[in-house]
Amino acid sequence: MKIELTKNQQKLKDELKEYFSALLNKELLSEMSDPQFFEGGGPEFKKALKIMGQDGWIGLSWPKEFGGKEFTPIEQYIFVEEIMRTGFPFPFLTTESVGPMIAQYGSDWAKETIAKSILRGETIFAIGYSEPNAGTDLASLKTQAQPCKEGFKINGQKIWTSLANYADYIWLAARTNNEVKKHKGISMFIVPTDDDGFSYTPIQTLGDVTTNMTYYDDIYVSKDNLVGELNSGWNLITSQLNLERLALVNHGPVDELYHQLLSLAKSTKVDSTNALSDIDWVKSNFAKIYSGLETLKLICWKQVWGMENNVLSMTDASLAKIYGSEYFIEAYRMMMEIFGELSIIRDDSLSILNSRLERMYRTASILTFGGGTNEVQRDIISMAGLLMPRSR
Amino acid sequence: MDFSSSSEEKLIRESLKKLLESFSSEDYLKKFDSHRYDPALLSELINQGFIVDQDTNKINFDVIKILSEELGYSNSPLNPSALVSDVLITLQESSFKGLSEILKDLLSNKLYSYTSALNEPLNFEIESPKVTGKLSNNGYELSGTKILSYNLDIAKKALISFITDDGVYLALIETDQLEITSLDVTSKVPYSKLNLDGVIVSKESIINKSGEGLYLLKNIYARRVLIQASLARGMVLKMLELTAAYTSEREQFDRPIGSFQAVSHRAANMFIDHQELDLNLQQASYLYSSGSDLENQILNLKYITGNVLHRTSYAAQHLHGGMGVAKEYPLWRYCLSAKEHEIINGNSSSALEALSKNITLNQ
Repeated sequence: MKIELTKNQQKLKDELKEYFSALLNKELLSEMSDPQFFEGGGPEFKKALKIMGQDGWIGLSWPKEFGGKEFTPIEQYIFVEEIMRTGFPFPFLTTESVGPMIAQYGSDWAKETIAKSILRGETIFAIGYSEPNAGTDLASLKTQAQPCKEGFKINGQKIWTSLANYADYIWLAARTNNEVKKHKGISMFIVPTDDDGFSYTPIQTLGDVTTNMTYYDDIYVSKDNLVGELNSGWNLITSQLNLERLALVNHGPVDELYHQLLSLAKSTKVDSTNALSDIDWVKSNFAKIYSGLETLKLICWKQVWGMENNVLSMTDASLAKIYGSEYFIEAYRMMMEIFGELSIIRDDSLSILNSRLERMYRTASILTFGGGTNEVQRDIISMAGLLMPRSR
Repeated sequence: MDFSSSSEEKLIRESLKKLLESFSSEDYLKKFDSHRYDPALLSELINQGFIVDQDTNKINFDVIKILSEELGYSNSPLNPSALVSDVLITLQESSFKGLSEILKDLLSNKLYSYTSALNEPLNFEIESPKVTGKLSNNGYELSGTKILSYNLDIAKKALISFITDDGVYLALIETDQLEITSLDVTSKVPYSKLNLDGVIVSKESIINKSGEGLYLLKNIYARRVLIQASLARGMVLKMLELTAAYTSEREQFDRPIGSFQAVSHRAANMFIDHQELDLNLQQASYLYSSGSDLENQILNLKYITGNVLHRTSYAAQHLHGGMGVAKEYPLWRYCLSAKEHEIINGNSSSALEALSKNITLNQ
């Protein structure tokens, strides 16, 4: 048992801090504070992503023959942690989950063209899973991919397709067999967003994060766009979701905010002698936030250690998702209590840390249902972890 | 990063599980329901080298933590904290000369002859004793009371703490002349009260050099929390297993109650609680073994241990319905032990307060 980062991992953390501090120039920071680019997609974002591609920071987990770094899951976690601390909307779903799957299961064309362009920081994917009537029950999806002489003809509609407004491709789950059990008739496709049959309408959310409804109207894709075997998409979806769940609850952003707010509370006077951090209930809130952060960090570390050693269980991924997403909501609440009315002000002159806290609390609720609702995660724990009967 | 157990740890755990099987059947445990102390178990643990390593004649704290987890899991009537951690390990790390005699005595007689008396009424920090010592001709004259001293009624000597103008001191004193009163506590563990008013402590019985007392007491507190969390880890795991098994079999409305989400989700929350305790215990144990500064992690562990014991104990009782409180089913003993460990050596709220002071200290 050794529960700490190695010297090399600590060195990587320091190196990343230095790298991102140089990468995030004034122009990029200004673009990142513009609500229309909260999720990326702006010119400075695209420029930075290409630089990261050139510098070899994309494709961390990928094999060296692809130009990747073959990082272990722990090092990947450190990378995501450090970049998330900066607030840069790194497209890790493209680089860390969709990309490696295309590199492993894609056609020769997909490996050569798409995978390599992801590594160069030139290609972004959006995830096309949920549909208006297939959310938590994802296997009920109805978007069809029918075999035809060109390959497949795709028709259907997806919802909550975040990043589709600027993504180059959709990582699309579509039904390819209606005759078998619902999760056995699904396949995965690479669908270009510049096809005439593709369109989207934006959905604004309370966190000012824009997501999208996406439409697929007689889109023809070649067999080369199929990833993995026909009708074997469910395994790719579940593997991708396990990776996504860990990335969603990375402890980095809250840890960064905690330290910034603690430092601010120590230097903010509430009267001539006392700092904000001298108030008893403020101290108590900070201690509770610290305690949860320690646990979340350990849960995430154990999960990446499990991935590295091939001992990751379904329950580990579900536990991380539940603990992290519910902790975030509580942590933001306690942080906002500490700074009181100031924490809800968006105006630059009075806001706390450029409204970062105000923005983060508004996006936190997405995580308790996004990436697999927490009720289903608890079902998984009781069935797979405690061997209890299936919930009805 | 490594969250795995070594093969040696696994071997120790397996041997302990096997040993404890013979000391934890329902009929066997019933014998101790009015007095939760099993001398035969202590004797066997000493015989088999789980208390003192017979090759090195030293105490291995990693083994004591595994032992505590297994004692918690089997709900055996024995707590190694006072004898092994408070007395023996403290003597091992202090400048005290008589440790080898004590170990010899323990290995030959196999009795709980040494204990500690460190807890005090309404004092939530054992590092800051309220019992005072006034310098007198022969040593120090004490004033004050200790409570919840484990097995003090059978021990020959007790390690006590007191504060003087010169700082904190620890002394190993004879018990035969002391005013000891047995206490009837919730879990029926043999705890006693010790009145120290007017007791004279000789300088020879003091085990620490001047200025070393606080350091030793802080270490005692850290080990107590680690042992408590280890006992709790075992208890919570057992309560979780009992709950999962019971709710999978018990049927209402023609189906197992565990198939209702209201039930399965509460059990899932117990699982999450167990993981929270387990991971924080592992981290604090690692930091303790590597000699790192761990004051905040220990306070956090105490905070989490109390919370998790409280939540899982009540969830387990609730999900069992009447069986959770019936004395014909084993859960009730775990619930009493859970409350005891939640509430002694400080508690979640006092640990949180101390942690909050450390974190917000404006240096």
